[in-house]
Amino acid sequence: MRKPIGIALFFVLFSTVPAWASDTAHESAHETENTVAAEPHAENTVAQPAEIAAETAKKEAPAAPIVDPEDVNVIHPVFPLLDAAGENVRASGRPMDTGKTCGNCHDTAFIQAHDDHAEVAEATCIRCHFENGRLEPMETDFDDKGNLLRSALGLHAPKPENCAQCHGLVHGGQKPLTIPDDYESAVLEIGRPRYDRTLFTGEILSDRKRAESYLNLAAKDALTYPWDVHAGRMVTCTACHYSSNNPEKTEIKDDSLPFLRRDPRRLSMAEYLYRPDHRLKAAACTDCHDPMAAHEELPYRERHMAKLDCLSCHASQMMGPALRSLDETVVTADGAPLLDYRGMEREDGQNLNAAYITGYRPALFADGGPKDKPFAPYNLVTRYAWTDEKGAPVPFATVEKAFLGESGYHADILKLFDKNADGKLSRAELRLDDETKIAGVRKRLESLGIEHPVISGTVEPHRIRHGALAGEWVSLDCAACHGENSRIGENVVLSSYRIPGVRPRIEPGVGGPLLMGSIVSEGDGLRYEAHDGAGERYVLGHDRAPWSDSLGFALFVMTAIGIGAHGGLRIRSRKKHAAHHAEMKRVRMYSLYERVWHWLMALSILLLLVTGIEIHWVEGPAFFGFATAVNLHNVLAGILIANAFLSLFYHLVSTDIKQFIPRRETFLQDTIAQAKYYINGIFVGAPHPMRKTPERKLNPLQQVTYMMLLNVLLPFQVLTGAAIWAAGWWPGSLESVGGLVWMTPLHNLGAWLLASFVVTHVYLTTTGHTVFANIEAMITGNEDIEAEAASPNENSEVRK
Amino acid sequence: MRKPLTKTSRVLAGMLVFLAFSALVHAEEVQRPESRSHLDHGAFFEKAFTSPGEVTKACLKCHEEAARDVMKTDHFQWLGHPVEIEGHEGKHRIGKKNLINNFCIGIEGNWPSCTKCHAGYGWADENFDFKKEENVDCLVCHERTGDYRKGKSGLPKEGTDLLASAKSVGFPRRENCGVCHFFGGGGLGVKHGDLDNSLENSSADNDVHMGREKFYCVDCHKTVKHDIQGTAYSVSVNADDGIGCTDCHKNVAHRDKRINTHLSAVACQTCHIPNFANQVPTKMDWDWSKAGDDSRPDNVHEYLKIKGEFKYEQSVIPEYAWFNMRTGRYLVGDKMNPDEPTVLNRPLGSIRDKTAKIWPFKVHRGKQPYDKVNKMFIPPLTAGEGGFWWEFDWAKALEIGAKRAGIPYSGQYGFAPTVMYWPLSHMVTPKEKALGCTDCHGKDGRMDWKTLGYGVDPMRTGGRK
Repeated sequence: MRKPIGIALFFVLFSTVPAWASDTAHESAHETENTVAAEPHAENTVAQPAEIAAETAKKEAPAAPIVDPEDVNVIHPVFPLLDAAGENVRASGRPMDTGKTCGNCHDTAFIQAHDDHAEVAEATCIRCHFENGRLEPMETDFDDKGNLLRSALGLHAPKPENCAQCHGLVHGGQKPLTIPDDYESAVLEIGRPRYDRTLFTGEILSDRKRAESYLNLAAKDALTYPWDVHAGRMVTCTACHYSSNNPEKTEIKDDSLPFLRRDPRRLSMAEYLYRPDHRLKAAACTDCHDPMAAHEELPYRERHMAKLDCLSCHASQMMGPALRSLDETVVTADGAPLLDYRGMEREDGQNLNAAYITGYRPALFADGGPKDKPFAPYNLVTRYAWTDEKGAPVPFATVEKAFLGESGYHADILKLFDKNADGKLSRAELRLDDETKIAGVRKRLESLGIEHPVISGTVEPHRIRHGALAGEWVSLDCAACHGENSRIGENVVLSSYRIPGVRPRIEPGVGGPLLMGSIVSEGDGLRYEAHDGAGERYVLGHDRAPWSDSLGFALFVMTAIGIGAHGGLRIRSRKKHAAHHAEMKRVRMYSLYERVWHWLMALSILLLLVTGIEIHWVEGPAFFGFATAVNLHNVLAGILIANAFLSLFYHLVSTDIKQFIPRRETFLQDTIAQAKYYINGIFVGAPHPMRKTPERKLNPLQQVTYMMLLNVLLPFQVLTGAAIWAAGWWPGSLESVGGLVWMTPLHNLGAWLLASFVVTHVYLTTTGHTVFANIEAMITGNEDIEAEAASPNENSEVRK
Repeated sequence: MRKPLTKTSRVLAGMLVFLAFSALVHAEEVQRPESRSHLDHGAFFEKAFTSPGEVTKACLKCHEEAARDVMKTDHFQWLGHPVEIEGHEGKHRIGKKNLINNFCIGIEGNWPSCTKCHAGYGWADENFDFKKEENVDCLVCHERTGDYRKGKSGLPKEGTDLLASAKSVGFPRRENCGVCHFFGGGGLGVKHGDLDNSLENSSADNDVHMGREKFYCVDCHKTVKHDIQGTAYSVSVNADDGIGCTDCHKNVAHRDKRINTHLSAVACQTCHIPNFANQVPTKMDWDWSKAGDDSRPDNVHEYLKIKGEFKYEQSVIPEYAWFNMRTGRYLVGDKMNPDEPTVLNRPLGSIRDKTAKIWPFKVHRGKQPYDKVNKMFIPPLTAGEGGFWWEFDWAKALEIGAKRAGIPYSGQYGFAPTVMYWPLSHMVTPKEKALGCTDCHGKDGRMDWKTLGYGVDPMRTGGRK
């Protein structure tokens, strides 16, 4: 059977008072609860005159016309208000029934069956479609035929004010923003907080600048931008949350027909207005915005767009009063649960408007797991409540009875909680943080008929979906994610106190994030400890693979120790054994190109290492800043690759490539001789086993090293680096090879190897006939070589 | 063997120079005024002066051209160059000397009190000698003691220490300009709305140029040969001598591209001067018809027997209109229609005029005497024999006033509404406090889109094409 969708409005005509009395927002909620339970349709709308009369007597008759002349709907036909039987309420005196009244023209049965709000009895036609959610016509607001006059027709598509009746703080106009007095007392209203979006996330929909509000915000003067950029630009709720068959807004194109850009067959406006599908859309940012047409300054924007929800950056600091914990196990003197806010310094009893709000930086969690869905900002709200044995929640009214009597707290409760015995319970005292308090309250609850009451704790992730900042106000702080203290995988303080024996469980929610971390104790309170995400994600600068760093570091340290020992021995033996002196001749060792090539290579590798360190180890020394370091790293890689290929070309064309190729017949011998020299000869002043000449500059060990360096390590670094780079431009391109999780540590290991090479290489340049001879040769191109002296090793004689 | 190194360093040096140069180019977006220093004149004057004209003569000993330059300017002539005026044939020289407004109406016959603000000495009647060099008042603009006060006919008040003032001379400070421009119309903040003595020591919020940046008036109102740049639409009809924001702010592109789409239709002032008269109230309405009532108590901000009834407002939201930098003008002797408000200086331009932009105005409304038969506004004689302020006899004051202005008077008078538009350019607020989208657009917006010619909010329909 059809459930009437609009049952909240009751009209009673009083002969003595020439005014139509009806509900206000509050009472409608109250009365609906009573009526919604009644099953038969007719009974739903039967008003009990005595009760209504009592309700009405409390109210004042509406004075001014309810509809601002500017808001009068000039298109919608005028209509009579009908009761459940379809009779004009003015004749019948019975309450209005929206199912009949609106159903005259609209298919209310269809709407009822296709309505997100169907479960919410308060969401009536009037509540969402009438000015201020109310229809309170005066006697004079009807024409002769019993139709509502046009001047009373404050009928429209839902405005933010309509949505705000249930969903959060909406504000506009010249009066500065304040937090309303009922903000906290509304927490438990109609089963869920009336200001839910604001309470759970801190979102405030206001076009006014934050600096203009009356809230006590930290660094307020600098907040010269609106609370919500969309509100600031008059993009209202229905711009994104619209009926899903609204032909003005929705595209009905079938995605399986890719050749079709648009399907012109759609509902006519008349058809739509007859049967609007009230399952509302929630448009995504990208339905209106093209993020790739902006964000020029962001490196790797493809990847950032693929991996991050827009609000991760565009709502990075929530300044509204958002809950951290909502504790319904205790009752404040005002009869409210214990509320604790995130990013707020508030003294006991201080008005919320006066509390110092520093705001909070929402942690980022991946929706449905880190692999496929982007990271989005969340607030974690911890809730405590009493449940009975079977897990059914104990009504807060019962808890209230357990704590409060006619004149404040019960004496035994006061005695139990009041540590400093001042007769009042501070917020710090009013916590179930020890067993005796819990036992005391439990006993009281049991006496109220609750069997075996227990405390349940839950952690609810609430995604931030509004309160965006325009791009110009978003700070490009790379370290917010790419750093030790990253918003991705952040640990979140859940509450400042703990209830013994209660470990809250994480409520994933529908379509919510996978919170794979655990809840741990921190001080007196609780903390959500994010799991390290190993194997799931790799955020540059934040995530590290310990194996890669330890292995690389060990190699590097071993190299350094070896060089240190070798060098130390050389210095010690230097005095004992005079250097081998021979007649020297100055020759051109390196051509200009060779030197340019070498130093360009050296410079790019050094800078690659420096920028690489800055990217990998964000907390370390900052030379360029993260974004610049990333860009520079890429540019340097390009230079290095180009340089390497040019040099390959040069060495091929000049046939100098032979320099790098070991001679097979003497390779083993030469290598052994060279190794012997480094191990022993060098300390006893033995001559070099190989004479360096312009025609043969490299000893066999060098040849092997450079072969490996140029043919293995450099290509390896280039390939892994290019893969990481590609993942920025084509997110997902790496998934088949393990993603960044593998590629980045490999690249990092390669960097350690390169660093070890650089150190060794520089050290070995000092093993020429003088310490700086080789370096000088690489700078000036000229080197002194032994002119006549016979080589101790005939095999390494100069080849002509 | 050091050649390649030298080359490298040359290249490096070249790159550094290029970088430094490009950094300089970037920094130079707003031209700030140069700081000025003025020679201490304390040693030049020793003997006490017996008359203000003597001071001028002393100045002219060195600054030989100064008086001749000043005498050519509007500040001395109270008449501008010949200009074409909408709805009038030929060219006219207009200025304070021959125009009427809806404050004290006109100076004709009322010289001694009006010429208190004349940059000269002794303009007491129509016989004032505009050619006499010693009639120029150097001190009012240049003295820096702050004790120099002009009285009737522009002569210094009794007991003024002329020697001290002469010794103190320097470039004009805000106070020098303000002594007339902050107090025009007979009191503090009466006329402009965006000029009052809160600018002497302004906060940044009140006026970003004079507050945060410590500008003097003459930093923008640049002066060549004592001819001070700038236009006041109470006495001018075009911006030939005007100053624009873009004279200094060369690059007016905003970070938010949406704002830039406004620039062809909205003046800078519209968003950057959200309110005027923020610290000192300004006169918004002056009803002469109520004057002369003995039974009402005098109160500077509400009622004066000699002047009538006033309305003052503070922190006023401007009115907005299309403005192509030219105005119409009511000249003495023009016909008027007493049934509807006469705009004495209607801003020209409309939504269809591509050269016009939406400007913010202080709109001053008044009710002033007119001739019922001839349909003309009559500037009454106020001070002096037969003047309204002395005898409270409108018939007499108007008859003398009409005769002096050279217009006929039928003897039947009434009071008709008038309007004056004062475009705002001072009291620019810091950019953080400039208007946002919803200040103009949407339900609570301050723009009257219908009157401006848009019909509905152009946010929905797009701007003018």
